[in-house]
Amino acid sequence: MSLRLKLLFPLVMVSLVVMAYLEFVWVPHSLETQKQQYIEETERHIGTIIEGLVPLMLTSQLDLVRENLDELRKKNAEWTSILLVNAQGKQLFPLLLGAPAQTSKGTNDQVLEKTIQLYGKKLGQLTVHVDYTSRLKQLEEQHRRLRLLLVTTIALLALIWSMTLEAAVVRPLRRLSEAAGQLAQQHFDVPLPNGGGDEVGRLIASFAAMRDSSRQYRDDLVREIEEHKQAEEEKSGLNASLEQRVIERTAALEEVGRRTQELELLRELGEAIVSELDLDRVLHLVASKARALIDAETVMVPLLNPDHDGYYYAAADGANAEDIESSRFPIRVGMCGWVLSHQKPLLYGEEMEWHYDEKTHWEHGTQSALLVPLFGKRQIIGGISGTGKKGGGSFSRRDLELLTIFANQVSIAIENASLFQEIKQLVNTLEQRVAERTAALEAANKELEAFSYSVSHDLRAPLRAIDGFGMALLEDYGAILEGDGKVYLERLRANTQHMGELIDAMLQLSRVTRAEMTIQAVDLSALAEEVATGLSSPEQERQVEFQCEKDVIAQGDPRLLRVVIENLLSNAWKYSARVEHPRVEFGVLSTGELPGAEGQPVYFVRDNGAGFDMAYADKLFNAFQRLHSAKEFPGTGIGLATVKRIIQRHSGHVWAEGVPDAGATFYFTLG
Amino acid sequence: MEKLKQKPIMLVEDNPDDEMLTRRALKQNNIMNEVVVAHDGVEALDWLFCQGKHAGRDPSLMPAMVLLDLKMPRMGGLEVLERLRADHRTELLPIIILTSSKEEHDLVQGYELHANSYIRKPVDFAQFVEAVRQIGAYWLLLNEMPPNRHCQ
Repeated sequence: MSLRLKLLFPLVMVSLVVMAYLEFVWVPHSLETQKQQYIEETERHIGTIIEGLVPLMLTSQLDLVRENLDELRKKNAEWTSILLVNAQGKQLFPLLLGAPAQTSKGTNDQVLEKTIQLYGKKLGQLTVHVDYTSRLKQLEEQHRRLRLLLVTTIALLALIWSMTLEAAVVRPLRRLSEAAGQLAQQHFDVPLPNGGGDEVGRLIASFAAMRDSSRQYRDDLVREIEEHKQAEEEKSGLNASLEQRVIERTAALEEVGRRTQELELLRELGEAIVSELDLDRVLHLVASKARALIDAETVMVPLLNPDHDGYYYAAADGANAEDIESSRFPIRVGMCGWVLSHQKPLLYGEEMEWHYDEKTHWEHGTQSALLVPLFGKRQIIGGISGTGKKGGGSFSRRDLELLTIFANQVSIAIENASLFQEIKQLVNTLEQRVAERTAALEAANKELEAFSYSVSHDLRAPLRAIDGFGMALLEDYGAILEGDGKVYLERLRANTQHMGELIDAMLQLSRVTRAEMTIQAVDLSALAEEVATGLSSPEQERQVEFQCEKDVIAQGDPRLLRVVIENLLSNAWKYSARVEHPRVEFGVLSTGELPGAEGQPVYFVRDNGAGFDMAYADKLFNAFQRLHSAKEFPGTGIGLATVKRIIQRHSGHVWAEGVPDAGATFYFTLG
Repeated sequence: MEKLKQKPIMLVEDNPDDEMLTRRALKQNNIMNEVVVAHDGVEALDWLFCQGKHAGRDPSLMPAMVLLDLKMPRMGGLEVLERLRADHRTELLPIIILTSSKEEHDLVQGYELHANSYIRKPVDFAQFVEAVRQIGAYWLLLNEMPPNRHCQ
């Protein structure tokens, strides 16, 4: 169904419904109403007539009655007949002359009867026949004309509607659709209808835009296809020449391939072996792969003794392999012996100057043999020997060539593996020795601990007893001791106390060696200040000038470093005792100020005391070594040994510089 | 105070020399409390718990303090300390470790087992006498004793 029909259809339908309504409902109803109206009008008219008739009838002026009625009939054309009878039923009008009054019977003929009475007394009856046909006909005529007008209007409207639609929508759309159809055929130049500013106009504009971009796209596509085609043609041309070249090359490659395959096999064999580090497995792999390579019935791998005076079969593969393996021979025996001592390959059966003292038993009856030496990095290490070509016959020069290449490849693997084995054995021994040493060390440590505990407890108890009883003797019997008796007892006590100090110092030395270290940042300045404060307590008579550099922070075990500082400072205090203005200094030298410090900070403790002769500088740090007599400066001779032990445990160095009677400086580094 | 003075001091010490010297030091400091000596750890426990050869002793008598040596035959001082601290009757008893050992191991363990004090016997007898004086002054005079608990 076309768009026009679709749009027209509702219009026509509505018109038909309106017309049907007019025809079948409205017109009949209107006619009926009109008729009723006429009847009512006529009845009222008749009523007024009767009022006029009453006096006339009472007075029996029948002439006047008739005259009036005649008049009436003439005036009202629709009144077909008027019949007046009196109370007795006698017809008064029209005058009957024997014949009944004519009555016309139409469809719209209506009989109206009215009784004439006065105060309930019937005077007569008036009957009027009315025919409205002519009146109604007039009305119908009017209706007909109205309908005609309506139909004409509707038809006219439909026509205008249809034409407008045609001009504004249908025609542009048709042309658009034609253009679209043409577009499908790739005609991009079909003219488009001129659109107004309405929806159709916009549609056309969109279509035009779409068509333009399609055209652009088509053009691009066409160009691309062109290029593609061109490339394709070039390619097919190239392909042809390439094919030719491929054919030529393939022929050449096939030749190379045959050779490569051989070498590739060789390389694969070699690689499998090179990646192995277990010597025994390497040797067995060498034997089995070599056997596959040269198609031998048996392949043996003889290795030279370290002294080169004999060889042994380290591995064998194939017939008699189990018999052969591990057997040893002097260097003069067998073909292997010849190859190993001459360091040359051997192809048995070829003309060659060679000699051996006796054959190994599996060499008897051998028809064919092939032997090549194995060279390590520096010297010959052994060889590979194949006997009995599979399926009879002899080994060829090509076999010899292959086996030589193979031997060169695997010799490194064999050497590596034997080195690896050696290292492994060494490592094992080493590990075992480390474990043994560790156990021994642990035991020694335990012993040392028990020893020092015993020293700490058992050695001091008798000393205390000696001192105690010595003192008891002095206190209780001092009065009766004569001469040097008291002095001897004092010396006895002084010695026990010195021994107590020695024991303490030794214990500290051994403890310093064993103590677990916790490395952390330690404020050496604060430590030195604290120790110095203890050393110059008020009990000390003399005053030492102590100069301490601020904020010297070092990494180390705080407790052990305290022992270092304590020992060095108390030494400085002690040895500067005889100077008039004792002066002790603690500080750090920045990197590079002192040779030999290797960029580490160097801490130092300096005094202006007794000093020492540099000739003995190396003895300073040994336990029980003293450069001064106990009479001069008391001491245990263990303090600096303890310092050295601690500094060593911190991976540092300690050393000293001194000038007799001019002071000493002790330096140390930490890690 | 009167009562306190009557309480004995227990000295657990295996070395007769040390015992003698300790008695001398106490005497020199005018500490007149009776000194009960146990020559090893077992003996000390027997006396304190009224058992073994001390089963019949007056159970209400408990020492004012125990001077405990560490290295002894049969049972060492640290084990004695552990047993005493594990027992309701002796857990509050003032125990002063008085030893020659300066080993850190002993020191740490002594305090871990709740010794009240750890004093190292100096070799110098004069210093030892001074140490004993201070112990007596502190534990017998200055310090408030814990409530008495005994064998029953």
